[in-house]
This record gives sequence, structure tokens and C-alpha cells, in this order.
Amino acid sequence: MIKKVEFKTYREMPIRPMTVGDMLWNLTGSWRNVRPYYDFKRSPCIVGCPTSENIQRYIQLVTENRYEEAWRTIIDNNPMPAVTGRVCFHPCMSNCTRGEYDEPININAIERSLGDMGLENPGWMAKAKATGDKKAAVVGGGPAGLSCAFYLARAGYPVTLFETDGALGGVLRWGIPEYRLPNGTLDKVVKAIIDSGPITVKTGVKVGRDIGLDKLEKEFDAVFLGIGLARSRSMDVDGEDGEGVEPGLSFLRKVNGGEKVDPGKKAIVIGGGNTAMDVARCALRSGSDVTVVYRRTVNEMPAIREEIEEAEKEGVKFEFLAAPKEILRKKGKLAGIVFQRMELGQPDESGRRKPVAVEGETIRMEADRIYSAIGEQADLEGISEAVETEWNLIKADEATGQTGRKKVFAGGDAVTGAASVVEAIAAGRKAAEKIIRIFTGRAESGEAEPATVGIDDINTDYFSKTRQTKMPRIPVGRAREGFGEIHTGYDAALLHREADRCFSCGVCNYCDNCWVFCPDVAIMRHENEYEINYDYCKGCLVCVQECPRNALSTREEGK
Amino acid sequence: MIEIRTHGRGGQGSVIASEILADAFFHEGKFVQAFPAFGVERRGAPVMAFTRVSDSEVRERCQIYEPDHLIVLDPVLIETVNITEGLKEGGWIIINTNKPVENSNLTSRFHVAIVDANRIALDHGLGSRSAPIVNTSIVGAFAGATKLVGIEAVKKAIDGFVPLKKEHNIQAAVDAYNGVQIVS
Amino acid sequence: MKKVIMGNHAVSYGVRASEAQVISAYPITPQTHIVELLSEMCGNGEINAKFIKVESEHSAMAACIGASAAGTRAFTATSSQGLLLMHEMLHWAVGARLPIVLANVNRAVGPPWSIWTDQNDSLSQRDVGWFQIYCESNQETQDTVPQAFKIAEQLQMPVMLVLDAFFLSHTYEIVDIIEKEQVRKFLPPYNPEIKIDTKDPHSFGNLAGPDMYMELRYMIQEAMEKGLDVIKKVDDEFREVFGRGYGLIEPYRCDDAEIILVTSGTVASTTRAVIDAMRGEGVAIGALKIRVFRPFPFEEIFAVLSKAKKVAVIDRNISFGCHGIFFQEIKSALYGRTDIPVLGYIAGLGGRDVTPGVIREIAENAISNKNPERYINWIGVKR
Repeated sequence: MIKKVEFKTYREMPIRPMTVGDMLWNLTGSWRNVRPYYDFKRSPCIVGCPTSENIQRYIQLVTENRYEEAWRTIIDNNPMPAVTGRVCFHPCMSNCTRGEYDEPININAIERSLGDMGLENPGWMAKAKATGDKKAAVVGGGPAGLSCAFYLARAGYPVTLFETDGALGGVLRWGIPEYRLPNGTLDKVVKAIIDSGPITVKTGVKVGRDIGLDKLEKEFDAVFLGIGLARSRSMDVDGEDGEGVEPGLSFLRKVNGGEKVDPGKKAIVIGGGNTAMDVARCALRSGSDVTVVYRRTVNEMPAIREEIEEAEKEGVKFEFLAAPKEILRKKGKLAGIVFQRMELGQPDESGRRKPVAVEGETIRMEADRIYSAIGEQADLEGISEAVETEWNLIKADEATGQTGRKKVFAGGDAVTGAASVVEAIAAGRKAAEKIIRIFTGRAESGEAEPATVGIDDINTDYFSKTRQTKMPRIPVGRAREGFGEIHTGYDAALLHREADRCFSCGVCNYCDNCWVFCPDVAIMRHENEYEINYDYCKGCLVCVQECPRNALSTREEGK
Repeated sequence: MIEIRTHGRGGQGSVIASEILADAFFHEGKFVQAFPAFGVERRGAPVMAFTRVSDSEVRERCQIYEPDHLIVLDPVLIETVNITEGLKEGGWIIINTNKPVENSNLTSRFHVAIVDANRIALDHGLGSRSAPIVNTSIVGAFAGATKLVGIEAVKKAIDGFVPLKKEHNIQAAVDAYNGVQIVS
Repeated sequence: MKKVIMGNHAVSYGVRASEAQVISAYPITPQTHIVELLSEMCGNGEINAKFIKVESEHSAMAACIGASAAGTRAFTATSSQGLLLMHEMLHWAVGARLPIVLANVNRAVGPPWSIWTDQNDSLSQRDVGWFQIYCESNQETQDTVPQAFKIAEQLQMPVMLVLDAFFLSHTYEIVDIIEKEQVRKFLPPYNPEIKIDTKDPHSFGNLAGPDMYMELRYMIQEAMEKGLDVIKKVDDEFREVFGRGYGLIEPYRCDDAEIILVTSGTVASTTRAVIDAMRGEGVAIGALKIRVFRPFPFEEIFAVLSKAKKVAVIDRNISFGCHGIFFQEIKSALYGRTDIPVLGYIAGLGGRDVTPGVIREIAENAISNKNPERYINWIGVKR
């Protein structure tokens, strides 16, 4: 029953206006119609990430100086943040809520910092021992294969990894130039993955040629194909075959392998993807005047925006709306190239406007070298006979990598066509998870995905506009003179400056606002947790309104 | 009761002079009071300060309008300010100057004494040529001319009031005490 | 030890001897010397106090409120506009029953800007509930500081001591400087029963409903009423240690006076010289100095004035649309005695000098004045 302090005479009162009792007699929470509760949601960056890195979480851990935990958070979804932190096209940042307020968080740069810390601290990587009674084969040492092998080994299943080349890395090694991803960094990443668990590496072995897929199916309990796209597509124009014309991938492979190359005085690169940009910038660094020719406009170029901008800054020239028509030769020697002038027509199935030839209009350009970078295709020798293919790509389930054959899984570019490193990593991980589920007989967890937070859910009154923290870099003039890495990474101060910008969309980061604003003092603060005392919460929802990041939700009482 | 009015310019130390003077009388067992003319003045503007000395408690807490004696730290003020306003007949006027006073209007009605306090101050390294600090010298001259207060009391007051160069200030006061010339 | 010091420094020495623990202030002419010297004393260890620099007088009082609520002896000083800016916090200090001591140097309020003395700054704070004690000499000013702390701490009420700008603040006089060793015999260390204490948490200054507010206000009035006795007792205790005392009021040659001039502050001092002069001329005149204005000593004043035939009040202040503020209180003290006319004189506003000549003019006017009491007599206005 209600018990409250009452004074019969002022002599019983303290002379100072002060509390002498408590309000425990008056449980005002019974008045509540709507109940607030902590309800952590999904940050859109995580949704944007193909491999679903818990970005909000690791950025928060960075703000708390908990770097190792932050690194582990990434590793749960991506075994090579030092790679993706350099080469990823970071769709997370396009999804970042802050991008709709001022500028997105530089997630890519934060990821790189953590990735590099992981390489500097090899002890952070837990070592897994072979405990499983099943074993797996992984074909291809690129991002998809390394990812699949890593997660299988981490679960304790021995993995044998087959690689055609002499070293692991796949496209990371022969397709991405040193100035974006130094070989030394890649070597450390690969070593960390291989050392992390029971992985046996067999290099110089081409599955489908040196060893049959059927044999692997017999010897192993599961096989993952992560063979990538190793062949350049041909341009299909007259004069293509012969001296002076070379597939872009072949040129990149030489450059990345340290071979001496001669791109001539004037080089033309045909294509608009990342390979085209890499070829153009490598040729530029090797002393050539370089023009990139693309059949659509800059807006339709599939290359990462920053790569295009960097190439332009370094001095690569661009010619748009031109498609190769004929390569001119004089006595077999390369003399030049004629382009068909194009214009943009209706959008095609990719949503981009399709280039259409402008009748009778051509352009002629001089060239010592022509590099084709109009796309790559898979080398399915000995594979296409065993698994179902379509358009020269392996057919596999998008979520699990399962092919038509029970024990065979596939992922990465050989399934999707030219995509990204992070998507390959995701495919490798998802296939590994499916394989582990089969090995263990466990079903997929059926947890519902939490709702995703958007800019309208953020209380932007709590954030002042700030610029994104750019990653430090060497000047363009020096960058174009060699193959040294362009971006030099954050120091601790820059890392924190950028991490502190994160809204932490939908997830509490203990900012204390709810606790401070609750007019009924009904929110209690524990270590890394708040608790609502519903005996006193009147359901005013000030906490919900003042949560800057929408980490609280409401529910009507009695419903 | 003796009431003394000090005329000077902002920055010359007139207020401190009135306080040192009061303190000197205090050391001889008198009741005293010293205060500036209240106002907001800048450096160089004419300023005034006051000293009251009495054998009994000083009860008057208001400005002095009819002083018994004057101290003048800058002779130019004689021409620009009506310094003798309210001054009682036969009172002392102690003037800091290096020139003889020929103003018979002063010398006939009042006792006039002069001292070259600027030179004395500079001799003892007090202040600069452009702004010598003359307040301790002029108090010494007042004591020397009027004999209303002794030099020992003046020395003690300077010792208590002046934060720096105590010895120089005391010596300057002694020099002025000895060097003051009585004109009338 | 006796020294010739300025009135502002007399306050500082009083605070030093009282061993204040927290001092927070914002500078303002003509008060600044007080806290300037105190900050030096804090710096050189002469006083073991925390000096809190603030950005305004409002914050200065707020800091004192926090310090006092935490159980420390807190002091501040201000003047004029600074006191007015503190106004809200002055109420708070009273309502929270915090024994803060404040020295206010009486300075006229602008505009027009004035740095010279009058009482309208402190008297406009008449009803906030602070004790107000008006001083007339540097010695009294110094001695009133430890008295103020003792009164404040016994009653858990804030005390304001008031001194005239320049006529005290900047005037050098002989002061027998008190030291903390002596004061300890008079003023015990402050250790309140109620204070902010993390081991015994309470919420302070919170809401009180209509069922409690009046009681809390009643207790403040009760403390004020007790205050008159406490002040007298504290004054006696001070006299025992130091041989000096000041009382609630100070009558001068009033016993057989037909007319009494009522004054406060430095005017009271100058008035005594005029009384002696006029007594010498055969005029039956006396003077009454009001030292303690809040609580107002009605009975003591009535006892003195009820024997006179006429009373003249000199106010260095004005309540616009009404009268001099002391005048109103004196009239109220003589309520029912219609046989004793009370005449009000406004003089000395904005630092205009109240000389013996001015006081004599008032006295002579009062003797011959047949005007009704409502009439305000402005002295020296160029009309």
C-alpha cells in the first residue's frame, strides 16, 4: 500500500529543501500506454556488404580502442581485410546513412587499418586443428578459394587447395597492380590464411587437366570450384591477331610478375572495367602515352569510380562512345585502329544504356600497342564436362554454391562472371558454411533478419556535419612514376577521427542519451547495458525520440 | 585635523604619495585616511589624491574641499588647474620643479617649497627619463619643508608601501628631505 | 597588527582570517581588489582555499552555492550590475539555506554608467532573504566578515556585507588586522549536519508542493527573526575576543535629542562630526546609524526614535514612485506614533559627495520643515 513521507509540522522538515524519502511508494509506470524497449537493428552498411561484415560493430570497437576484437569481427566474414581494405569497391559506403547527411564513413580505409593491424599481429589469428572426420578439396587459390578453404579449416576440416599457378592469390596476384595491392601484403595475407588451420596447398596443379574432377569427388567429401576468369575475351575485329595487340590480362600478369614490358610510345586500352584501368595505369607507369577507349560514356564505366579518377589524374586520356572496328596493319606491322562512333540508345538488361553505332562515323587513331580489356572468361577445360555450365560459366546456387552435383560447389567470378573480390570471398564463405552444414547435419539457423535503419530513422540533431577523413596518399606526380602503393593508410588519430563519425545506425553505442533524458529516471545504466525500470517508465518515449541512432523501439501495452 | 591634497598626472604615483604620507603620519601615532579623487582617468590626465591626519578618529568620509596643504607633482598643473582652490591661507605648497617659482600669487599667500624630484628620482634609478617616479621624493620634501612628519616615519612608510627598489626610494626621500628649498 | 589599508583589502583580510574554503568571483569595479588580493593569497598559500574563476557573477554565486551545499565555507564579492546579475542565484542561496558570505561594494546602477557609490544595488535585493549589514569603516568591514560567517552558519542563511564604493573601498585607513589564530577562538570550523554527501544521497533544491512550500518559507522568516538575537550575541562574542563591537544599530547622542538623523554607511560617520558641531551650537540633535538592515531591528529602532520629536532619514537610494528605502522602513518602525514626523531626504546618489555641509543642510531643513511626510526632499538636485 502507498507509504509516503508526510510532515505534521514544519519542525519535522529539514530546513533545506531536500528529499528525505523515496518515490518507491508511487509506481507511476502503471500509467504507461506504450512501452519503449531496446531493439537493435541492422546498419545499412552491413546490408550493403556482399559478405555482411559487421561494420557498425567493428567501427564501434575501434572507437573503444578494442582493435583485436574489431579485427576478429571482420574475420568472421572476411579472412582478408588487408586486401579488401585496398581493392574493394565498398558498396557499404554507398549504403552508409551518413552519406545522405554529409559524406559516408570511409569504411574501406578503416577496414584496411584493421587488416594491416592483423598482419602486424599474427598472434590475433586463432590456429585451428584438424578435428573433423570429413575433408574437402578447394580448386583455385584466388579470393573465393582462399575464403572457402579458410572457413572450412577454421571449422576443423582438412582442406587441400589446388592452384594452377606457382603461387596463391589468383586474380589478386596477377590481376591487381602493385600500386593498389603490394605483393608483400598479399603474401602475408595468404600465409596467414594457410597457417590458420589444416590446409594443404598444391600449386602448379590444374584440376581438369592434371587431375580429374571425378577423382577429387572420390577422394574428398566436398569439392569447391573457385577458378575465376583467367582468359581475356577477344575483340572479334579484323587484324586482332598479330604483333602489337595483346590481351590486357596477359600484360598485367607480366607486369605483376616483374617481367619487363614495353607498351610502346602510344598505347590504346579498350574497355571500361577495372582491368582496363589497371592496364592503362601500368602502361602509363611503364612510360607510354595511354588512351582508354570505351564504347559508352564515363557514367556507364563499370570500373571503381576512384580508379577512373586516379587514372585521369595521373594522365590517362579517355575516348568515349567508340567501339573497335578494324585494326590496321602495314605489312603485318600494327599501324593504327579504326573505331566506330557510338551513341547511347535504350537501356539494356543491365540497366545501362546500350551503345548503338552512328552510321558512317568512324575515328582513326595511331597506336604502337593495343590492349584489349573488354572482359574475361573462365577456363573450363576439364570442368565443363563434369558440371553444368551456362554462357561459359559454372551453374551454381547463389546462396550456397551448390552445383548440380551433390559434392561439388562453386563460387566467385567463374559462377557470376566478372564481379568483385568481396563477392568472391562471400561466395567462398557461404559455400564453406553450406558444406559444414552438410558435414555436421545441422540445419540453417532460421533467425529473422532485423530491420534496416535509414537516414529518416537517425536523429541528426545530434551530429554536426563533418568531412570524410581521406586516406593519406603519395602525390600523383610521384605515384605515376612507379609501382609503389599510392595510399599509405591511416594513423591512429585519423582512424579514430573517422570511426568517431559513425552514426552506429540502429545499434546502441552507450551514448547515455536515453539515460540522461529519461524524466522519470527510469533508465538504469549498467556496464555496457541499459535497463528500463518499467515500474517507473511512463511511456513518454523521450528515450526513443532522443536516441540518435534508433536503437529503441516501441510497443503498445497489452498488444 | 590636517588635510592635504596632492595634484599630479595619471601614472605619476599621486595616489601612492597620498597613501605613503598617511602611513608616515600613522607611524607617528596619528589617525589617518588617504584616498584618490574617485574617477576614471587615463595616464597623463590631471589627478588628485587626499590625505587626512588627526589626533582623534577621522570621521569625515567625503572629499577634501578646503585643504591645509598641497603637494604638486607636475609644475605645469599650476598653469592649467586651479590648484589653490580652497587652500587655506598660510598653507604649504610643495612643488616638484627645477625652476624658481616667481608666481607672487602663490608666494604671498602661501608657504612655497620646491624640490627637483625628477632629478632625485633619476639619480636613484626610479622610473625613466620620460617618466620619472617622483612620489617618494616628494613625500620626503613635504616632511623636510613642513616638519609635520619626521623622516624616520617617512622611511618606514616607504619600506612598507613600495614593493620594489625600497632602498632607492628611501634614499630619494632622504635626499629630497634634505634638498627641499623653501621659497616663502 | 595595525596597518593602513584600503577598504577592499580589509574585506580580503577578513576572509583570510575566517579561513574561507572556496572563493569564486568575477571582477567588477570597484570590488576587484577584494578578490584580486584573495586570489594572491590563494596562490601563495596564505589561505587554504580553492579559487574558482568564472565567466559571470551568476556563475560565481552558482559556484558558491555548490561549494556551500557541499559543506564548505564559501565567499564571493561583487558590486552593482554584478549583484543584479546574481539576483536569481541570490534567491537560490536563501531557499537552499546556504551560509554564503558576500561582500557587496555599493555602486550606482546604470545606465547611465556610474562607478560611484549609492545603495540601490544592494537595496534592490532587499526581499531576496539575505542578511544585509552596512559598514562605515574599514575596521568594521574587516571585522564584519568573520561575524557574517558565524551568523550565516548558525542560522544556515546567507549574509551580505555592504560597503560604500570609494569612500570605503578605495580609502586607506588604519585597520587592526585580525589573524586566523585569533578568529578560531571566535569562529569554529564549518561542519554542517546537512551537506551533499555521496554516502548519504539526497536530492537538493527539488520540487516542493503547496503542502510544503509555505513551511519552508516560514522557516526562513523564523531564521531572520532569530537573526537579530544571533547578531547581537555574535557581536558580543566578537567583542570578547577582539574588544570591538558594532551592534544592530548605533545611536549617537540620541538620549536627549529632539531631532534624530537616521543614516547608514559612510554617511553615518560624517554625520557624527556634524552632530558634534551642532551640539556645540546648542541644537538638541542626535544620529542613528542603521547597521543591520535585514533582518530589520524594528524594536531597537523604535526604542531610540520614539523619544525624539522629529526624525529625518537620509537615503542614498530611491525606490522610484515611492520614497527612500530606509525612510519607508523607519516610518514602518514608528507606526502609530503620528506625533513624531518622519522626513525623507534623498542625497548622494551616483557618488555625489555627502559632505558635512550637505548633512547640516538636511538637519536645518528638517528642523524647520513643515511639509507633510509624503514629500521627498531631494538634496542638491540642480533644478
